[in-house]
Amino acid sequence: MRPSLEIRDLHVSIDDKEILSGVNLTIQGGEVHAIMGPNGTGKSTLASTMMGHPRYQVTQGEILIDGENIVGMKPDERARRGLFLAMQYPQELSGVTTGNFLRTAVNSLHPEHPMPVLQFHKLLTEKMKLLDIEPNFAQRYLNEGFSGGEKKRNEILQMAVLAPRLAVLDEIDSGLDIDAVKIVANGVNTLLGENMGVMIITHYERILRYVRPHFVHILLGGKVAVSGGPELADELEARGYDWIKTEADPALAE
Amino acid sequence: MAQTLLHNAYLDACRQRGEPAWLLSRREEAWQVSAELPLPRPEKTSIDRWGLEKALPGAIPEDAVLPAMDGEASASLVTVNGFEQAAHMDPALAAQGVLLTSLDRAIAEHPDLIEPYLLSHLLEPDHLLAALHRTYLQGGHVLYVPAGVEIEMPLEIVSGLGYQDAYPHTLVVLARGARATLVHTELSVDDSTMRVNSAFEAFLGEGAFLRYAVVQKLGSQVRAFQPRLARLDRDAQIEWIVVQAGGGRVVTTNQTLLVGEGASAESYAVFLGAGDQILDFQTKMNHWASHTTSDMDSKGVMTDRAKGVYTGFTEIKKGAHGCASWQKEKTLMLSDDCRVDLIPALWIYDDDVQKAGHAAAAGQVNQEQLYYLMSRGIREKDALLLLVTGFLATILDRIPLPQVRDEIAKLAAETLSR
Repeated sequence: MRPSLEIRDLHVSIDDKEILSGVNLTIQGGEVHAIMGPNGTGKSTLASTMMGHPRYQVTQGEILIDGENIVGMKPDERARRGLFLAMQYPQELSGVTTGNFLRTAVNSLHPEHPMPVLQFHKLLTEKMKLLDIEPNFAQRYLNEGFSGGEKKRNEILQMAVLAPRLAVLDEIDSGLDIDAVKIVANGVNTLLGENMGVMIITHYERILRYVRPHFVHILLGGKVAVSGGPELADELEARGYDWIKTEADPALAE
Repeated sequence: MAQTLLHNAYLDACRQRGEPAWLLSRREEAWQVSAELPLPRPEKTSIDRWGLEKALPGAIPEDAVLPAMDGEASASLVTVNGFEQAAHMDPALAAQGVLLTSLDRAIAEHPDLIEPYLLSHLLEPDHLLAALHRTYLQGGHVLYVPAGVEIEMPLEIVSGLGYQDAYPHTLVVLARGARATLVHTELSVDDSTMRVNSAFEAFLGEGAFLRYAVVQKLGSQVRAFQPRLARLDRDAQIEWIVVQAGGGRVVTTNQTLLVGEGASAESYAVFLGAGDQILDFQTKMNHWASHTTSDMDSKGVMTDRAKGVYTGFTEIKKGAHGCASWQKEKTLMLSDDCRVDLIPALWIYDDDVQKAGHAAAAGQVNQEQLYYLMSRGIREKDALLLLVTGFLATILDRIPLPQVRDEIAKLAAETLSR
């Protein structure tokens, strides 16, 4: 079955301050959606809320994966329903190797079919190659002492190994040089298909030159202010965000 | 009075099995002073009702359960309550005069070798349990490495405890320039409610090096008092790797006397507390000579209703110049009902100190890290386990035998998943 994600009238608060005020969005397998918008508009809040970060309270609305509401579920339960979030600031974990962590994750996602060690290593090696990652990566402690680029690449490696049905990439391009953006984009493109829907959250249109989105949504004031095709990203590049504030929602311009 | 009767019978038995006179008199002297000595009083743990002072050693059954042994060490010794059950020694080591044997055998076959050392740091016991250990010590282990002999492969002692109260004693002597690594595992072989009053003493000659990894994973029904002490001559070095995981109620002291100039000690310790465990864990470094250094790195994990006390103690004596000491302790608290007291203590009496300091912290699991792991589908329990093993890795990675290391990781997993 083709995966589907539906966000309905989502309201989210942090410490009783409303950040998202009624977001609506639908993503199907095979589609790439870009979520854009200026800083502080709730893009990362949307990503963290979808994954179930305990700090974000959903005060209204639903997040449906294949029709099932995941609001209230723990992050691991959401992951087992196929959701993946490549994080903007991945955590560093001393003493836990990347390989050991990923194998634990793979076996947690499919507890009924634990993957034999050799098969896992084959999978890991193949995906590391795809992302141009050196082999000793798996033995290093998870993100500890990694450069910004290595951390982002590690997020995509995890996505490649865990094969989610719906992937959210939160600012995956920030802090990357253009070669790293290309490698990450290439990784995403290789994994794309009917069985995976992708949401790319980004501040810049740069990565969208390498991963072409089918839809672009502009988040402003905690809502989707404008949606369109890939041409919307080009327009943003040329004109910035201000015109949307006035044209799309005059109330926001004040 | 009943205790006196049993006591007399015990000493008679020691006499009958032909113990040397020096040992019998050390027992007798200790017994004489015991009546006036108080129980030890750790700062935060009252052991008055643990009944340790009532422990009497006894025999073990002929068909005692043997602890498992894995056989990768160059020499190994398996005991139950300190009585030898199996022993193996690389002939090349034996030819060099290396001795790894039970205390009984060492007393019978090499009395002159051990006489200068056995119980020598406890000559004047300062509390009742030390006096009783000296009176009743029964069974145990002896490692002797002659001068200049360097042993590459780890040596191993597996010490099973069960059935009866026990007073095992481990003696390590590394003569001048000797080097050895000893891995010592203590485990329960049954679920007897027993009391253990054990002791470890090590003597390192000039320039000797000992890496001593001790893994205590006794059953939760055991009450134990476990002092460990090392005395280092000039330029000797010791590396302690202490895993204190088992026992229901335990007081343990790991003490290094740096008596020779330039001696140095490192201590890496892990303590795990779960269930209703009470664990009082002390690391002590006594700088009695100039240019001695010590470094302590301890990590604890507490869960359920466990209660822990960690004391890091550094003493620099007046006249011991240019010493350096650093201590660091960190505890991870996994439940609301567990508790830990961290007590760093620095007693510095000399003005010429190169470095002395401490850092102590107790905290909860980092929620952002937990969220990160869970976002990949890892269940909370497994994520916690990854975080805990990661937290302990810097110390566990130092355990010389990989299978012992894996055992500890497994033990941590079992502790957490209960």
